Amino acid sequence: MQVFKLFFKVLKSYKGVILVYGIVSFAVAFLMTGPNSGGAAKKDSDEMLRQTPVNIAVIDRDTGNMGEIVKEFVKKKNKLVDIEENDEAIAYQLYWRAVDYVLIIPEGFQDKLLVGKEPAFEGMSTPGTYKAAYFTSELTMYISKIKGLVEAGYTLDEAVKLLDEIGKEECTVSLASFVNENQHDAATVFLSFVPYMFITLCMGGMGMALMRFNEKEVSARMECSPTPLYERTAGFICGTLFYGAILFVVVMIAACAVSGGSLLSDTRLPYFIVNILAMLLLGLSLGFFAGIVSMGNNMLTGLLNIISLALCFFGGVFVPREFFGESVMKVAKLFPTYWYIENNEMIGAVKTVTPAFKRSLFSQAGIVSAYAVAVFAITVVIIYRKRQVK
Amino acid sequence: MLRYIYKIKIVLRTPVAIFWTLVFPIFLGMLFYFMFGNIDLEQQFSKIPMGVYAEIENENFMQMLNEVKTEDDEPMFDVHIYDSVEEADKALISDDIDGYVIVREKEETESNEKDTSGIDGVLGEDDIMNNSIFSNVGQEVIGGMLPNDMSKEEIISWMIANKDLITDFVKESGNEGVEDFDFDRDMDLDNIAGQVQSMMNNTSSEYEMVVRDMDVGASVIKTFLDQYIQSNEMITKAAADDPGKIMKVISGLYGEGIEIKDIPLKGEDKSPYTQYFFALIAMTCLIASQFGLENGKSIQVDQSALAARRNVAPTPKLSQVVTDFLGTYTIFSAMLMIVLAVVVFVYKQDFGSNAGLIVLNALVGGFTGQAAGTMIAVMSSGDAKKKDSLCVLFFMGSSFLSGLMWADITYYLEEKLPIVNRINPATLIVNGFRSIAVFGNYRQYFTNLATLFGIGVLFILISAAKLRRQKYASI
Repeated sequence: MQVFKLFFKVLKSYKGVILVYGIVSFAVAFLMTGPNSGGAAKKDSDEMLRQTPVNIAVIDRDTGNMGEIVKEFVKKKNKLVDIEENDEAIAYQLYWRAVDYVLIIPEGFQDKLLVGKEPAFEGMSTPGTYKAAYFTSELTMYISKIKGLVEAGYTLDEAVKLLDEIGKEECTVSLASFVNENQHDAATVFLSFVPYMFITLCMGGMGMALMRFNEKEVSARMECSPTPLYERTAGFICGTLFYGAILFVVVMIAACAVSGGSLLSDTRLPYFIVNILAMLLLGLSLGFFAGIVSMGNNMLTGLLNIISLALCFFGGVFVPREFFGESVMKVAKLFPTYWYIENNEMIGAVKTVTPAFKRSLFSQAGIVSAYAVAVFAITVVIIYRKRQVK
Repeated sequence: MLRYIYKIKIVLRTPVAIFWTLVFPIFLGMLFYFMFGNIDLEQQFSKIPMGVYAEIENENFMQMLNEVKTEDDEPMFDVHIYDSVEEADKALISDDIDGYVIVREKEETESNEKDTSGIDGVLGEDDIMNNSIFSNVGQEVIGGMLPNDMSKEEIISWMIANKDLITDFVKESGNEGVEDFDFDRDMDLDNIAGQVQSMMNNTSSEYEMVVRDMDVGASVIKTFLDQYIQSNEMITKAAADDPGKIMKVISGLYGEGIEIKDIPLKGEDKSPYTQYFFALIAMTCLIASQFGLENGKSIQVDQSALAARRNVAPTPKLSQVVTDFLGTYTIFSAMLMIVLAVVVFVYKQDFGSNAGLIVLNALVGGFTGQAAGTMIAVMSSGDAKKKDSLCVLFFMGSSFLSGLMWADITYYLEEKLPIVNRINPATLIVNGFRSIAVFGNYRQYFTNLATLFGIGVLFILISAAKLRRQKYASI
């Protein structure tokens, strides 16, 4: 009990550091959850299957009706944004992404179209962003249709009217029967940041405490104290587990809060818990490892930042895995965080729990736990070697 | 001068400083490089895997799916055929396909019952059948116009009855070799009638797309399907209106197409992932706050024994503060330049061609970072651990808000809380790089730079004001 109490006394002395890591990691999770999820509320499947509208500005330099026709077309699926027609204003709007695409209808566009020539639009977008790709592709097809109809003898108005009518014809899209409409809800997105929270708080919290215990003077004093080794070990283990339990409870409360309480009655909750516990085990193992190998605060902070960021970037915590190339994906599979995210997404999307789902869940959580055990084993070997050296 | 050299020596013998300023950013840059370095090559277009489960036969649709190509003349879809929805679902679960299409018979309603008023004028011809686009569209048109229950013989009779129109239609198509087209010699009536009959069943098809999520692949499939449905609908309607118009509608629709000419911005960088490297350099600049923090602590008597000794020395405090600042800033700037060089030359990130302005932005960023560290050391009360924590909070928090972990956060903040983007030092540094590399906007660059420098000066003034008044009655 003495060691257990001491463990928390040491932790208390690091409360400032733990608080900073807590604030940073939770702020990252909360800030990234909002815009990356569909919100706490259940998302309508229609909304989920709709293409994301983009902000389009239209600069009409043509004298005909084409500007109005294009603007009406933009409004059907996207947001039409007003823009001042000068280079500086356009660059500023694109810079801050108030506008995703600026479409310019050049002078004489309509006349060329009406006489069967191939007129061209002009467009500006932020380099490297492809948000407006669907819009530009649909627009060119729309204008090609107008051109076809005009060449066939329709007036411009008749062509637009006919296309308006035809434009309502779309294929129906539905979610596969096995997909949960809540797959991108706030709780699922928030829980995808659990690896960052656990790794930083375990390494920065219990890692710091263990490091203090391992300092030369402290460890030497403890060695000659009347407290037997098993009692000290039990004290450490209980302290570590209790610290882990506190982290788990805090994360669950936060997840429930972002889900608006719906997580508590969610059938996916037990599976999320299994996955989170596996990650907690890994976080505690890494904290144990960092606490044993670090020879000072600075070394521990360095290890913490390198390990947490490497695991989180390669595991797909910060950058969605859809952006990974094939070779990066192969490397990513070597990281335990990859399997946590894989599980988290699978649980988020599950609608009916099948034996195959359970098999995947437990095997992937097993991989994360196996990493935790491996890190723990390596640390034990390091302790053993250190003792031999002594 | 001597104190300046001593300060440089002290910093160089501090491994922690070298770790944070050199090793950590280079390591993080290496992570980004492995993740995004070859992403443009790896993300080149590859066929979109999709499935089809056809409840009714629709050769026309299948042919179109297999023949549609990208601008680079590569097949757009990798089509898998499934015999049941369960089989297609399995493929969707295992991520083998991005989505699948169920082709089923369209429920006839009053509004979509076929209009056969234009039968006499609707045509199909050999060349149409041989050209994939014209084949599909031509068949679709005829199928849309003729009643489904026509036998093969009736279709042949219909074609013979419209011999002249078919001949005109073929010749008007403008395809190679159609000038000498002769209906009796060139038309394989039996074959064409067979295809038309098969296609007739297809016009009454409806398409349902089933996806797991509306990702890029699924969006491309949907866009294709919508265009396919709408194009056929348009041609059918035009044919119903005036059969003579079909050819022109088709040629207009599948002709050269409308172009959108890209007007480039003035910058040079084109990769969206360079943003992460901008944020990395911004973070490195702000790591200078650690140096500022140490400087601040080493001049405050209640923080260390060294500070107490320095305080009773005859050297004026201002002189000590200035030499400390300049000494650490010199070393930090040298290390910052190494990191910048590694990012530009080893990790091959394009920061634009104006090297002077890029370096200036980084140096001013480092100055502001160091000033922030000094201010944290001077203004915050408490022990060294607390000051260290505040410093980590400052540079990690500021870097996160500039897009180090999530590149789009600045745009999100611009919508919700734009003031953060105007005053956050890391965002100002990142935007300074973006102004040059992406937008070539020097006005924006200098606005950012001036704000950044102003913030740094403000931090220095606040620290100086606090230090000047500090008296120690007892330590």
